[in-house]
This record gives sequence, C-alpha cells and structure tokens, in this order.
Amino acid sequence: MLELRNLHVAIGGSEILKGIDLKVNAGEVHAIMGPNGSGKSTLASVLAGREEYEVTSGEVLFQGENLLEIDAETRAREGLFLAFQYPVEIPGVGNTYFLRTALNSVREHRGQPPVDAIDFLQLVREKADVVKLDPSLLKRAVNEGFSGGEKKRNEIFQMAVLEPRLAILDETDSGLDIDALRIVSEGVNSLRSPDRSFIIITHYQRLLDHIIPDFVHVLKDGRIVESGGRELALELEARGYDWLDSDPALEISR
Amino acid sequence: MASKPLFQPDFASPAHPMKILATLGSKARDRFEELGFPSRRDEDWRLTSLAPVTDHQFAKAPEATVTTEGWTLPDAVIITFVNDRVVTEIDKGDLPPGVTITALSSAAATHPHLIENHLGRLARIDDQPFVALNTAQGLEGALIHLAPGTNLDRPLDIVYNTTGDDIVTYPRTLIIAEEGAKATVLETFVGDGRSLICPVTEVAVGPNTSLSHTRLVEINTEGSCVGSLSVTVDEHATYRLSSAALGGSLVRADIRVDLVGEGADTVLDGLTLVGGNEQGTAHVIVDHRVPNCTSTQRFRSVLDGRSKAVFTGRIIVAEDAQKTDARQSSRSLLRSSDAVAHNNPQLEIYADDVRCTHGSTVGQLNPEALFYLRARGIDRSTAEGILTLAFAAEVLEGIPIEAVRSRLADQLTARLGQPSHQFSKRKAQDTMKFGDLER
Repeated sequence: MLELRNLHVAIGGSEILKGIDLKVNAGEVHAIMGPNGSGKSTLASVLAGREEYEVTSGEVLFQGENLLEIDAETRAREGLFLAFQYPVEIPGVGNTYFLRTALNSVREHRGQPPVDAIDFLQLVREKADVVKLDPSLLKRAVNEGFSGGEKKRNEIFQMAVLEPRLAILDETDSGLDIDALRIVSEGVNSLRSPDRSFIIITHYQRLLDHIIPDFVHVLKDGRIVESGGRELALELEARGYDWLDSDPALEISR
Repeated sequence: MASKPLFQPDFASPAHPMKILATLGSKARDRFEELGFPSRRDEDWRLTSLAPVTDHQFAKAPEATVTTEGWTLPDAVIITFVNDRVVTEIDKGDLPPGVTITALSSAAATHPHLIENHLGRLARIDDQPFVALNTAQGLEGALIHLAPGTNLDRPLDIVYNTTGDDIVTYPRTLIIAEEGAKATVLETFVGDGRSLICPVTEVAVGPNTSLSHTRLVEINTEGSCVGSLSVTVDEHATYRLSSAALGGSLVRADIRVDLVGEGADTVLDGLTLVGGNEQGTAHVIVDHRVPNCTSTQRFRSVLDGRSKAVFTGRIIVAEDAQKTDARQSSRSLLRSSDAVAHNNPQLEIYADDVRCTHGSTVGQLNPEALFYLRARGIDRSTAEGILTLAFAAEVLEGIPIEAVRSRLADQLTARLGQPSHQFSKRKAQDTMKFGDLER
C-alpha cells in the first residue's frame, strides 16, 4: 500500500525528517507515536501533499506509484485521506456541498458516475450515524462554529463518505473527551477492512486502547527509533519517551 | 485634466418640449460645461482613471427599437429601455393597482408635482459631473410611482440596454414609493459593445415603506458604466440595496443614501468582480441626518489580473442625529499579485451618542482552506472558485430574488473560470455549478 524509503524532509532549510523507512501493507494499522516536535505531523503533511515541505531525499510509493510526483488532489482521488489535526473553518462553503463535490471528484477519478443530491443525502445520513455526528451540523458551513470534538468527528465522517484506501489520522484524539474518543474510535474500527490501511499519529496511548494497531513505531527527532507491536505503546505509556535514544546507532550498546 | 478629453458629449438634441424638463436640462448642461469631467485632483475621483471614458469619442446613441432578447425575471413587471428610451409598451391593465409607470416626458404633464419635487432633487448636478451630464441629455427616462400602501407582489424588472459600439447612453429613472408601500425592484444595465452607460437613478422611499433594490451591471470588458444612485429614506422606512458589477473597462457606482426620517434603516451590499485591466469603484455616502437611524454597508470586491477596485464609504452623522447605528465593512479578495484594491472608510461624525463601526480587509484566499479542499480531492481551480464564491456569499445571499441570486452565482462562476481571470499555473477548468449553494 505505502512504502517510505529513507525519506528526508525539510522546511525553511531545517531538516525535520531524517530518513524514514516504513512499509504499510493493505489492511494494516500502524501507529506512529513520539514526543512533541519529533516530526509526526510533518510526516502526515508530506504524505497528504502540502507543498511547503521539501523532500530532500528518499522516496514514497503509494500503490506502487511515486506519491511525491502527484498533487494533493490527485492523492486524495487515488485514495489517500488525511484526518486533519486542526480542521479549518471555511465560512460560506456548505458542508454538504463541499463533501458532495469532493466525493464526485473522487468518483470521477475512479470512473464512477456522480452521485445525485438525493442519493448523496441518503449516504450522508447513513455515514453521519457512524460517528454520531449531529446531521444539523451538515447544514452549516464547513467546520464553522464546530466544537473541537465535532470537528474531529466530521473528519472521520468525511473519511467514511470518501472511503479511502489509506487513512492518516493526525492526532485525531487530541481535544476529545472519553466518550468522543470512544465514538470516533468505533467509527474508525467500523471502517477497518482487509484492503484499507491506517496510519494513526498520536501522542498518547489511550487512542490505541480503542483502535488496536498491528504495529507501533516511535518517531523521535525525525527518525523511527523503535518499532514493535501493540505492547510497545503500553511500554511508552508506562515509561515515557526518554528511555529511547534518538540515535538508533547507540541502541546497540544500550 | 492635463489634455482635452477626446470624448466631447453631444448636446445637440433639441430642447425638451416640457418646460420643467427643459429648464432642468439646460441648467445641467451649463453645470457640466463648468465642471467638465472630474480629474484626479478631485478627492472623490483620485483613485479612478477616467481614460476609458475620456479617451474615446462616444456618439449619442441612435434611437433603437429592436432589442436582443435579454434575460428578464419571470413573473415580473418588465420595463425595457433601449438606448435611453423606454420601449416597453406598458399595458396599464397588467399593472398592479397603485403603480404608475410612465415616461418622464409624459409625467411632466400628468404628474408635474412629482417631477418638480423629486427629479433632479435627489441626484444633484452641483457637484457630480456625471449627474449633470445625464440630466443635460434629455431626460427620456421613466417615472415609477407607487401610491401609498401599494404592496407589489411582483418585482419590477427594469432592463437598460445599450446596444452598439462607440455610443453613450444616459438612462434616467425616478422611483417614488409613497408611504407604506412595499416593493422589490431590479435594475439591470446591459451593454453589448464598447459603449458607455451613464445612468442616474433617483429613489424616494416614503415613510413606513419597504423597498428592496437590486442593481446589476452586465457589460463586457470593453464597455464602461459610470452610474449614480441617489436615495432618500423617510421615517421607519427600510431601503435595501444589493449591487453587483461583473467587469467592465470602468464600472463605477456613486451611491448616496440620505436617511431623512427617524427610524429609517438601510442595508447596502455591493459586489465588484474585475479582472484583466478592468476598474471597479463603489463610492458610497450614507448620510444620517436625523436621530435613531441604522445603516449597514457590506462591500466586497474580487480582483484578478491587473485590475483595480476602489471602495470609498463615507458615513456622515449630523450633529443632532443621536443614537445612530452605522456599520460598514469592506473586503477585497486579491486573486492575483498584480491587482490592486483600495478600501477607504471615511467617517464624519458630528453627534456624540452614536455607534459607528467600520472594518476593511484586503487579502488572498486562505491557503489552509484551499489545501483542505484539495486534500479531499477537489482540484485547485475548482477549490479557488468555491472559496471565491464563499467570499461573495454574504452579498449574494442578501439578494432578495432567488432567480437573480442563482443567475448571479452562475455568472460569477463562469467569469471565474475564464482564462483571462486565471493564474498561469491553473489547469483546465472543471465544470462547476453553484446554483445550489446548499448552505
């Protein structure tokens, strides 16, 4: 599904990601954890196609294609989805209108006919229920006046509608209370399937109590310094990040 | 003016047979000859380049009887002008009771008091050269009169056609809505060539009256429209204006609203869309002459190419106009780094117990919002169109007639998709339709 090979990324001349190797197969859930400033969100942004980041070396293959050569909209149409850490409010653009335009862009790319307004409404009702999103919010402008939790649910709701191949959740748990966390996690779990992969970026372990990952990676100072199974997340929860050294070469002597 | 303008208005037409109009016309002509065209030294015209007007010779438009089938509102009372003259045969039987629509020349005979008390009283020739020019040119326009208590359930749709190249037209309309009337008026200025339209509309809104007014300028990029709208709003009356100009070599509207009766309320919305080398100007004066009146101004401009947009909004609050509540906001969206927007709020407040707010911004499309839309699969050019339309949404939504609202949204969309209005790096345009804004 996705393969990163020695990915180096800089912004404004300073290097943030310093050689990331990662392979995500279809159906897998990978968690990427790490302290603040380790480069987690940079990784999400680069994969989604933000242009202000500069890939200085390395490559990214998505479904066998060179991801770095295609623009953000084409990545989305090919099935890559980013659940934003800070979803932006867009006054004047209706949620429903926006999402139907997005869905039809994706469908057109896949060679499918556009969804008409009536079918779309039906779809929206169904999917809103997945994350218990109040349907009246959909009548508003995109994210306008939404609470933090509503914004995050809206991201997962959009994911449910767009049905991506690979979803990247960037700190989707931040700002969620326990109930909202559970609802959002259930939404994500209901979308798990053998041909859909997830990269879950989080600072805390608690999200991974609900969404059980297949692999956990620790990102520190722009490198993956530790990879393991679910138990690694529990260990991080107990011991913090300090015991992991940012230079993997030193780990051998530890 | 540094050099003599190429455009020398032709005053050759015979004096008006009706004395009131003839007197008004000759005074205006004298005044125009004194004033001449405004220059950049004139504060109100400092930011307007009049070259599109003064650097061409425009001939007085010939009488035309045929018109191309233009767009008109369904279920409306339609009044059509072609080159200055009303050509619609108004079917008296078809008019709702209480409504009079007549040529100014006949009104001078049949309704002399109305003409005397209003025509040329609202739009003043003393300091406005283009009003003087219009007034001097024969006053061939129309009077629309709503008797007290008239409640019009059909909109009035006035279409001013200027057809042909290198011609100038001077449409003139006087709208008088008497006490307690309620009406919706649409004015559309249509030009199909390299022509100049210099319209003047005067509106008297009587006590307890509610008038909703939409003005659209639909000319091509070679044409210009320098228009004036003067309104008085009497006590407890509401005057609501939505004004939109989609391009033109020079599109300028001088709007003056005088709140003359206590409790009067006005909301003025404006949208200017310019690209290429076009210029759009809204020059607005809201004069609070008496206490307890409210006014809201919301003006938006969208600029592409090397275009220029100017908004000047003056709020005047007279010394005894206490408890005035006046608000103004102007926002410009620059879609090109070569475009220039000026927003000039001007407050002249002589009363002490008032609330006046103004805010103005010039900005670009929010890059975060643009990325968000693209990250959901919407291509850049469509996303820019969606965000631009959202920027204009507040003004669009204020338009009271649904058919006009969706037509304007479609026109905006079409215009935003034109190659001359695009950034170089944009790709082929996807089909967009914004008729269903789904908000």
